[in-house]
Amino acid sequence: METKQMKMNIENYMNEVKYALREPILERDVGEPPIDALKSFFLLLPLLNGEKWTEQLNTTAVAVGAVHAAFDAHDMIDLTKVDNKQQQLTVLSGDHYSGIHYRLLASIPDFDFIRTLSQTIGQINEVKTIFHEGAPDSPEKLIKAIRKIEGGCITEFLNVFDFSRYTSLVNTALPLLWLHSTTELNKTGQVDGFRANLKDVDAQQAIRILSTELQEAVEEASFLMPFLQSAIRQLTIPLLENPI
Amino acid sequence: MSIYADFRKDLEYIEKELERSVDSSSPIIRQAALHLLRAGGKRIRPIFVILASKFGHYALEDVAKVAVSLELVHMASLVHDDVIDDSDMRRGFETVKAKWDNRIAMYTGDFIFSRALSSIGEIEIPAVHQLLAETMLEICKGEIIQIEHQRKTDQTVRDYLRRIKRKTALLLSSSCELGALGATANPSIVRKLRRFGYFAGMSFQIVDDILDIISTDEELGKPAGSDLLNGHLTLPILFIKDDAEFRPFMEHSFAGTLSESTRDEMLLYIRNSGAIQKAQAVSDLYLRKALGEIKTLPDGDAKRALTQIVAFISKRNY
Repeated sequence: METKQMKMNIENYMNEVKYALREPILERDVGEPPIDALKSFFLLLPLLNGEKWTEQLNTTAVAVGAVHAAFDAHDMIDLTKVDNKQQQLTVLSGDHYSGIHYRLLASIPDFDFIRTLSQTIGQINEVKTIFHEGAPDSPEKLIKAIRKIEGGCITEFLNVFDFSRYTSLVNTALPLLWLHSTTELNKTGQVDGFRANLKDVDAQQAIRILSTELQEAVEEASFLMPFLQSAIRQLTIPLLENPI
Repeated sequence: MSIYADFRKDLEYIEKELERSVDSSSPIIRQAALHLLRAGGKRIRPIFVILASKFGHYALEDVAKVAVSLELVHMASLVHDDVIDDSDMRRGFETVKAKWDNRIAMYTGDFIFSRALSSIGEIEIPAVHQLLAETMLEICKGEIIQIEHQRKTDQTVRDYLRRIKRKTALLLSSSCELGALGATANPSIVRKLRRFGYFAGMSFQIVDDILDIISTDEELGKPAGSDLLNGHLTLPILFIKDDAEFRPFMEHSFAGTLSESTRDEMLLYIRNSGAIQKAQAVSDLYLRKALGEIKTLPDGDAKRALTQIVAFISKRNY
């Protein structure tokens, strides 16, 4: 029952983001906006765990989803050649999603979060650019970079709205999942840009560090309902050396 | 430019704030953003913000936050536009995407955009944010429509005017409106300034499109006729697109098969066709409307400067 409700909540949220980002020409030529189910799950952890979830929180969460969609759209741009309408519109889809995030925050209006989130968006782009030039030179720096890229916006959201106790889960699970999927994709040469710079040795070591941290984070998350602990385990067990 | 003289100090302050706002821990972003800033630009948006603010309670620090934000939104869109148009040169400098790659251009644009929001985030007036958000979305919509219209020869002057309204006029109109709103000017003055910005912006873009044809490569810092080479039909072109003699030029431009010498012939044809004068007449019409709005504003230095700006737009050659 709880799992069913959890899936419904995530699905509803993803549909809300999709609806907010709708634009007929983009939908026709680029397709639906990229909305990450895993990030949605971690963003909604407080809601799924029964915390008070207001209309304002929901609007802000949709805004964060819009930012993630913008990032994903811009990461799809070919490195050297934007030579067709679909790629040109993908550039603009990211700009459109980004504009929607701002419109949502302005509609509340939440000035603090506009400032906080814009700082984080700037930092994420800085980290991506540095990473694009060359991978961080140690597993620790790699973790720090991926943590910012993958979980930066969600962490800010959780901190600002007094859900800080969830951040250690986000900051360990999301980089771990990213490292795993990117390492797999790298083996088949399916990645480019900063993802292609990932060094396998550092990635493996970072996975080990994060695995331990995630086990600790889940053990310490006694506030988390058992079905959520179980959901996180299910998501991450294949990635852990010593299953939690 | 002499019209800057009255508010040069304020503009210098804003310029410093612009540089400060794009400071970055990423050397590439810092270099790319400063490179863009130092490539110049007319800073027409900050000027409009300054002048509009003077009709309310002028506080330079707040004015700068709005002005910086609008200029950064403009800059970010240019960086992404260069990716869309696959442009290697802008204002005589290599574009970010040419110097590095498309992905760096995406990140740089997104970074600059984030700094725009950080800057305006300090202004806690809901209407300011709602207006800027709508403006940004409309600009983006304008770009989407521009791609939709790319290489389409059945578009009308009305389509063009709608497109440039979103592409340029809206940001200039919003620059005036946001400047006035930020300075809590009287609502009727805010409306007049918004309309002024819109009319001036329409004229500004038409002149820009004319300059793309009548200027040299050196003056433009990119190949003359770039709009048509990128498949964008601007106002002068719309006036002659159905001429039998012109159609082959247009087809070669779209197909990317226009030689250098044929490009020169094409530009000469447009310049001698009367299309430039017709486009200029439309631009002048908008300028007269802009002047009409200025006349209803309270007298003072700002009103005088706005009138000078209208004269500048009508005569500018860069």
